[in-house]
Amino acid sequence: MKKKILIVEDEPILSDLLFQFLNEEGFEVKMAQTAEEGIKRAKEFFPDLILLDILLPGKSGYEFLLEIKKDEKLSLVPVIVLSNLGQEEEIQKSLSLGAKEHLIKANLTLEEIVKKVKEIIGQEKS
Amino acid sequence: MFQFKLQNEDFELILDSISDGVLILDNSKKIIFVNKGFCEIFSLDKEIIGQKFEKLLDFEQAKKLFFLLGSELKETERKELQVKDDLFLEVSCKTIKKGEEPLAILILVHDISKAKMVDRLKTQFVSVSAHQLRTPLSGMKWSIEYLLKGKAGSISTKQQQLLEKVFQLINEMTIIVHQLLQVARAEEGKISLNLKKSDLLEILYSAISLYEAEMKRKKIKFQIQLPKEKLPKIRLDPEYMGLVFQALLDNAIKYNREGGEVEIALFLEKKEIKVAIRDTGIGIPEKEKPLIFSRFYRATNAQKMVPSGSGTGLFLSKVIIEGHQGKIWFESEEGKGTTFYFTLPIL
Repeated sequence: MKKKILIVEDEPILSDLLFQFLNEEGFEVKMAQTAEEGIKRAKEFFPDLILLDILLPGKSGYEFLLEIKKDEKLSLVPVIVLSNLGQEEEIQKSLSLGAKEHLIKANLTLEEIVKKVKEIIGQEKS
Repeated sequence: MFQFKLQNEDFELILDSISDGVLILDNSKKIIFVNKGFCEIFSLDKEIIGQKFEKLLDFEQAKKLFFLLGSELKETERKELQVKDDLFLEVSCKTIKKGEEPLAILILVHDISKAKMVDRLKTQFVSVSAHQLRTPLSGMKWSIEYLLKGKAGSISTKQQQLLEKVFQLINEMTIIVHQLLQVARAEEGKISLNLKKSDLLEILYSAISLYEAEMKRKKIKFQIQLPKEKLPKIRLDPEYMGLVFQALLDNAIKYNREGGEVEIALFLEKKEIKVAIRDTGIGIPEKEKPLIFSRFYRATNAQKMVPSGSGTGLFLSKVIIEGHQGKIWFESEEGKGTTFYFTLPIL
């Protein structure tokens, strides 16, 4: 069965490229443009991993993290924060709210992101 | 020559008309004069005249001035003092002598809040702009990667070469944005080092690998000299230390002549590791040496040789090395070359 990824990202060019790349790597991918939509999608789709931006219209990615950590089932889904915020306290905030990793988009290639996704999903399986 | 003497009340009138604060004490540290500016800055009134300097402790804001200068009123030259969230002062304290004898102690206070605010805004602007630049950079980088992998259809060799060049330029720009962010952080005093036992050589080799192609293109003769003894692992932040090596190597290559030399030497000393990076480049003009570690500063000959550049590398390197309790300095002769040195304590 295909592993499921939810992308919460408001910048269409970035979410589209991530979507296509992950799709071609054999993942089943859904997208959301806001935190609110992301939470709704996460509850319906129940992904194996969430890729989450922080600066989103309306609620932020941090608020998204807080909310899913309150949900018994979703709180177990690993989240990779994929943001262009990358200062030490921003990274620490993501991690303290339960994100597995906080990665800086501009520093990574799509291939590196896919590798990270596979690593984390692999870890979760075992 | 025309001469005149001012009356005491004339002095008061003149000194009350300036916005800087003036406070004068006699030799027994009794306040003998205070102007309107001083009273306004510290929210007190002229009734303080005749009181001892310690009286400032009764006033919330003036208390901070007392703690800065101490009861002994130490000589101070333009020292910064934050009194409130939005009130920054520059304080000077000087003993005035008449001949050999001390006559009075003068305290001058200058409000620098506006300048601090502009500086803070500038820092925030750099920080926000850098963040904003990262999003389009990510979009460009991922799009090019997508094209290069042939996922949007096959591309010709020429197209592939051009796209690879664009990809490399985007990476260079990402590094510049990263450096700008670090400068903004350093300005805010927020640079935080994540120290862990690390292998300095590993960090150095990784930085060198980024410049191998450029050294080859410029036909630079590159040498590295290591100490006989194995270097111990030391506590440092590998990411920031990588930035230091990148900045110093980048300068050594960029401002070097074609066919020039770059030599890196490491010395294991009793309590520290010393690194020297020598080049045969354009050197630093004598007059500009004191400015070379200033943020955004680029020497005039460097600007002439390579017009683009952010002037952040050496500023950041200094902040980072000093953050590691090390020292950084250089020797340079214009037209002959420069050697940058830095030390890192073995902890």
